[in-house]
Amino acid sequence: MILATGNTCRRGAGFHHGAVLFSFPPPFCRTAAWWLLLLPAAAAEPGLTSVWQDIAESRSHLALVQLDRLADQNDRGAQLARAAAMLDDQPVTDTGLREAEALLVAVAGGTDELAAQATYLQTRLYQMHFAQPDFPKAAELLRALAARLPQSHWAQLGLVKLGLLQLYALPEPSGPAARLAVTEALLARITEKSLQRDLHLQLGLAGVFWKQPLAGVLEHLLAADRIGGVAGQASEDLIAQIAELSFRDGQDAQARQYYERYLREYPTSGRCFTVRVRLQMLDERAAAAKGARP
Amino acid sequence: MNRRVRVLPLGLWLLGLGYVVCVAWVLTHGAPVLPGRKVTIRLAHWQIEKGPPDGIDAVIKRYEALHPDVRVEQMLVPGAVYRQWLRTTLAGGTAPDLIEYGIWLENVRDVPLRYFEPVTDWLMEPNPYNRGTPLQGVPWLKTFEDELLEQRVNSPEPGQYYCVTMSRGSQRLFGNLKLLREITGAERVPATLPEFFKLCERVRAYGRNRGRELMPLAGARDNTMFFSEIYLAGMLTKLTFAMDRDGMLAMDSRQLEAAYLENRWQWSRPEIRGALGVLAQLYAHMKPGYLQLGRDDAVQQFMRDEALFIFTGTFDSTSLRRLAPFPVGAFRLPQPTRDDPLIGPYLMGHFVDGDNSTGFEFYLNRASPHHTEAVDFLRFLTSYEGGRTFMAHSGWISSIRHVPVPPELASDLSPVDGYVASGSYSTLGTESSRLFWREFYRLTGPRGSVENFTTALDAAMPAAITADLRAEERNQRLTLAPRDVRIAAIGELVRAAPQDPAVRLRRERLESAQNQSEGLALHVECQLRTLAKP
Repeated sequence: MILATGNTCRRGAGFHHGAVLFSFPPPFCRTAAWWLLLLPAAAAEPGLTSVWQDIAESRSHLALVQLDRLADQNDRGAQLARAAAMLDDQPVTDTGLREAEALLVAVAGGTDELAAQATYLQTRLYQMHFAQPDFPKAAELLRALAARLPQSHWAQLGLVKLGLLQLYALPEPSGPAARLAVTEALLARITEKSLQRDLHLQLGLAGVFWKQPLAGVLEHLLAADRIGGVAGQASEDLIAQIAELSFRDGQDAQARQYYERYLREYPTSGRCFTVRVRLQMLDERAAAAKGARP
Repeated sequence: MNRRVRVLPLGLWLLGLGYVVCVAWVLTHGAPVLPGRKVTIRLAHWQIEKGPPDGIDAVIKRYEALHPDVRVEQMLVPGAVYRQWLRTTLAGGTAPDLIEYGIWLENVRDVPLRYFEPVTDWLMEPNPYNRGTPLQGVPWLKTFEDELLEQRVNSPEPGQYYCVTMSRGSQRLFGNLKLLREITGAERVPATLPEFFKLCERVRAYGRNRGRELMPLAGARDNTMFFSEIYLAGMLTKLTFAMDRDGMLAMDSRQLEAAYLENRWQWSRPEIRGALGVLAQLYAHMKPGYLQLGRDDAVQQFMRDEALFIFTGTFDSTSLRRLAPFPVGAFRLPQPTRDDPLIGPYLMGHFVDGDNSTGFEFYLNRASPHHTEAVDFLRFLTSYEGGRTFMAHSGWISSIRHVPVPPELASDLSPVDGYVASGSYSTLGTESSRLFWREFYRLTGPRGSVENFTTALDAAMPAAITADLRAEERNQRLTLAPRDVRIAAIGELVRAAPQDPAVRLRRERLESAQNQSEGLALHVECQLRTLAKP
C-alpha cells in the first residue's frame, strides 16, 4: 500500500498532465513513504521472503530497511539476508564488504543450507567482490565447502566456480593439460545435471583455448548438449561449434547432423549461408570417398 | 463597497489577474482533471526522423479505438540528450512505461538489469492480436523476422529477452534516380566495384563538363564508418575464417582483438593492405574534407544534388524519400571481384552487404504500474496489424513476419546471400576504434598511403587492444558481482517454494548465465596475462 503510494508519486504522471492541482512534489512523497515504512506501527513485520524478493529485484536498500524492522535481529536467516543485501547496497566498499563477511562467517558455523550459502557467499567476496580478488583464498574456501557439505547446492555451484579458477586463474597447476585434468576430476563430484552441463561447456571452451586435441574438446561440448538447456546465445554457438569442430576433426556424420540441426533451429542466422557451404563440402567429401573406393 | 474595491492596491489586482490567467491556462491546456481514460501508458524513443513517429501515432490511434480505457502517449526524445534523459528519469522514478534502448549506448549498460523487466514469458505465448492472420497461434517470439536474434545475443541476462523490436533495417546505397538517368540513361548501379568506379568517373566528368560540383558519393565521417565496417568485414572473410580457432563460424570483436595480441594478424598483412587500398579508392570519390563532416552534412549534400549517391542506414530512407526533390532509389553495394589486383586473391566470395536484424527496441520499465496494459500495447504494436499500420505510415519495414513489404521498400532489405564472418575490423573496441579513425587520414589524406596507415596502426594497436580487453574484463566483473546477490536471493525463494518450477528455472538460468560470463571474464584475464605486452 505504502509502496504503491511511493510509486505513484515517483511516476509523477499527474504533474505532467496538469491533472493534479494540489499535491506534493515527488521527492517529498518518496521521503514521506520512506518514513512511513520506518514507522513500527504502520505495517506488519515483513517476512524474510519479502526481503529476499527485494534483494532479487536489486532493491537492496529497501531490503535493509525491512530488515531493520525485524524483531529478531539475531536470526541466522535475517543475518544472511542482511549480508547479501550489503553486497549490493551502493556504494559498495571493501569496508562494507568486510562487515558483510563477518555476518557470513557467523552464519556459516552450522551444517545446514544456510551455512552452506553463507560460506559460498564468503568465497564470492574473495573471487569477485573485493577490489583486489584473492583467487587462492577463494579456491581454498570452495574446497573446504565442498568437503564439508558436498551435497549442498551451494557447494555444487562452488565446484563449478572452482573449476573456472583452476582452468584460468590459479597459479597451480600451470600446464594446460594439468589444468584441464584437475577440472575434469571435479565433474564426478557434481551431481546436479545443470551444473555438470555448465562445467562441461567451460571445459570444452577452455580445451579450444588451450589448443587441446579436438576429440577431447568435442566430448565435453557433446556432453553439455546432451544435458541440454544451455542458456541464451551459447546454445546456438554450441551447435555451430560442435558441427564445425567435428568437420575439422573428420567426424563427417556428426558434423552433418549438427550442421543440419543448426539450419533447422536457427534458420534466420547469418551463419546459415556458411553452414550450407559446409554441407556442400561434406557432400563433395562423401562423393570423393565413394569414388576412391575400389 | 465599490470604493473599497477601487482602492485595492495595484499589486492585488495583478495577482488576481494572474490567478485567473493561470486557471484558464490549466483548464484549456492541461488534461482533464478527471481523466477520460483509466490508464495512461507512455512510450519514449529517439527515432524522431521522418516516419517512425507517424507510424507509431497511427498504431496508437487504432489501439485506443480498440481500448477506450487506455490512453497511449508517445514521447520523442532527441538522440543528443537521450542517455542523460534515460538515466535521470529512471533514477528519479519518472520514466515512461515503455522505453527505447540500445545495448550499444555508452555509459548506460547497467540500465537493463537495474530498471527493465524481462518479457521472456510473454514472448513464449501467441500474440492474441494475431488471431485471424497468418501468425495465429505462433509464439510471439517466432513472429519476429529474426526471432530477436540481436536481443538474444546481447541479452543482459542470457536466456532472457528484455525487449521486442519494431522494424528491420539494413544499409543501402541510396541514389538520385533522376540524375542517374541523366548521366547513364538508366536507373541501375553496377554490381561490381570495378564497374562502379567507372561509373564514378563518369559522374565526375559529367559535373566537370557542366561546371558544377558533383561528387559520386556524399561524404561524411559516419558514412565512411558505415562503408568501412561492411567492406572490411566482407573482404576479410577468408582471413576471419582462417583465424576462427573456436569453430564458431564467425569471430566477434573480442576474439579478433585477442587474435591480434597473439600475432595471428596485423594491419600490414597483404589481404588487409589490399582491403584498405580498395577503401582508399572508394573514398577518393567523396568530397575532400569529408572526415570533418557529420551524417546530416552528407544528407544535405545529397539533397542539394551535389552527390549522386549516399551510403547510409535504411533509418534514413524515409527522410530521403520524403524530403528529396527527386526520386530516390536504394541499391545494393557493389562487390569486389576476384580479378581485382588489390583484394581479388584474398576474397572468399560474395558477402552480405547489410544486415536485416530487427531493431528499434522497446523495453518494459520494471517500475511501471501498468505492466499488463503496457505489454498488451506492445503486443498490438508488434502484431500483424500493428506492423502493417506502422510500415504504411512510417516507411520503415516492419519487424514482423509475413507483413507484406511494399515494392518501393523491398530494395531496403539485404538478402542473406553471402558470407557473414565477423564484426568490423575498424570498430573492434573503444580504444582500437578510436585509434583507427584517428589515424585514418594517413590512408586518405593528400600524402596518405596504405603503408603509412598500417605502420601507424601496428605501432599503437597492441596498447589500444590491451586497453579494450582490460575494459571488457572489468565490465564483465562489474556485472557479475550483483548477480551473486540475485542468485543468493533466488536461492532463498527456491527454498521457500521448492515445488515452483518457474523459480527453479530462473535460478538455473541465472547461475548458468553467470557461469558463462565468469568463464569469459577469466578467459580474457588469462589472455591478457599471457599475451599483453607491457
